[in-house]
Amino acid sequence: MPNLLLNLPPKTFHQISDFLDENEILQLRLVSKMANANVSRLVRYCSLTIKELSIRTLANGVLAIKFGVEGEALNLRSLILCRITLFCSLSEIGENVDENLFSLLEEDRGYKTLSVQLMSAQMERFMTIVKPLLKGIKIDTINSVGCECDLELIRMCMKFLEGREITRLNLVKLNKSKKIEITEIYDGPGEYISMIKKILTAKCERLNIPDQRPFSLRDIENLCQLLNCVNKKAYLDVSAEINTSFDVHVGVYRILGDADDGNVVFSRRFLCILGDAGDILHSCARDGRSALTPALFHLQFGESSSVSLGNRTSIAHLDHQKEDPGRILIGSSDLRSRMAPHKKAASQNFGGWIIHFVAQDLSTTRDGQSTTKAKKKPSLDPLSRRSQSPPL
Amino acid sequence: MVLITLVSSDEQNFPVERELLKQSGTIETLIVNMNLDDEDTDAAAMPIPLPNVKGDVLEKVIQWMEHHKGDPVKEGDNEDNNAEIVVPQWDDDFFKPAMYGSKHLELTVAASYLDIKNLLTLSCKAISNTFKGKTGPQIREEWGVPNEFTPEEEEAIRKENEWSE
Repeated sequence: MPNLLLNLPPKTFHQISDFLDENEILQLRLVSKMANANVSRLVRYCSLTIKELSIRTLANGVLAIKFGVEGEALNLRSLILCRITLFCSLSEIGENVDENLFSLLEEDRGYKTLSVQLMSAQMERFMTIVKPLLKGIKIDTINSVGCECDLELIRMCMKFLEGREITRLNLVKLNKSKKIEITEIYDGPGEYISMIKKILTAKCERLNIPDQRPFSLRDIENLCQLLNCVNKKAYLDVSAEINTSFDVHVGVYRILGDADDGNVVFSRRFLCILGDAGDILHSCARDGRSALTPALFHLQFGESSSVSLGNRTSIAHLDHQKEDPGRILIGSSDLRSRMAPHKKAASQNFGGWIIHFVAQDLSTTRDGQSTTKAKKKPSLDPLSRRSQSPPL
Repeated sequence: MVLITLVSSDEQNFPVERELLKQSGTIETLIVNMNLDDEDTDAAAMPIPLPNVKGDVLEKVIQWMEHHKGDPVKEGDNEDNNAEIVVPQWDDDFFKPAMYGSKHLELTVAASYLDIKNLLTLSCKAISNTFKGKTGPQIREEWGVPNEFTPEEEEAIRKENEWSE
């Protein structure tokens, strides 16, 4: 008769492991090859028995697990995972959507990342099972990359992850040269804005929304109102380009939870709170500056010059906007100090759909003691690359 | 006093006070769905089958519920207070004879199935207490789990764990 300890329902094992600390969980891993012991919210490992779970989950038992070098999937049961990458492709199972996948996974091994390649329907089933196992594990990042079903995936994610404190949402895409390619995922103002709102009203610290197409001015307005509604210090840090007709091309937004004056610098990143594109000129006039030209808003301009637009105090707090909603605030935030909490977070994106479940705070135990030696690879983090604005 | 009959998987009948069953979310739901609380319904004639719980385990569960009759029923999850949970002496003594055996685990699984939150919490806590301060091999020995690892595999796991130690 099999030992019941090894056959406890994962949920029950999870509840037991709630009372254990990291080291005790690690000892449990040595009890048996059964990986239930790995399911612990306290150690914040997303260490699921992915292989078995997936086999149970996926239709026809079809499974495509990639972990670095093919063939290593067999060792998954003895592996503690701190991140699971659900790689959902539109292509057939097993087919590589992105040529960079394997090289990225190789680099990601330091994070003990597992990628599971799933079709969208399988993803839904998979997540249904994964959801209870993720109870208590902080979902740090959802990464999605551009494809026609992007928004559908995000909808699904939000459905499953409702109520979680998602601290980062990346909607980005890598092209073949691994550079961030601004992606078109915009699907009308309503849902997108509402999704952003949901994330913001949780404890989202950062939101990256590269978009090839301009957000409508109405969307920008909605975002601004939203930031005021959530009643917290937040910054919409926009790398923006304004074309000759002064339409707004939104590059990257960063929404910071607690930015302060000391971290606000004026350089190549622009913090734009726009109610109307026409306000650009209006604001400039109020600030006594010469009329803006499109060139001023071009990124190249910012990189080669250090010009502040608007004034420092007006940028510091968004609540200022309540008094002067038409004002343009342009500046940037030095995000480097804020990257630290995310050092175990998602690092890279590749074609297809990706969701990163990140054991967000692996370096911190309940009492705040650092316990991990895992190193961040800055080169893997497109966000960090983009966020390092040199101070003036 | 209204009695409701619970039927275990091995067909044993257990008449239980209605009041006691409020501790079990699963049974409470069944009672409501079967309208057993209605005055017109003959509750005694409508036993509640519990196909996932064996008779001896159900007996222990009832014994536990009787002792904890009147305790406030835990609402929802209260994960933040896990560290503060202490297994009372009575419960410790209750779990102890079955500890390190399948009985305790069956009781835990039954508590989960029957959605008796207080029992589940205390039971899980008691189990976790047996893991504390023990090495993997020690836990294996106490719980009678065969060692499935080769020395090489064991070493590999230890090595994998190093990064987080």
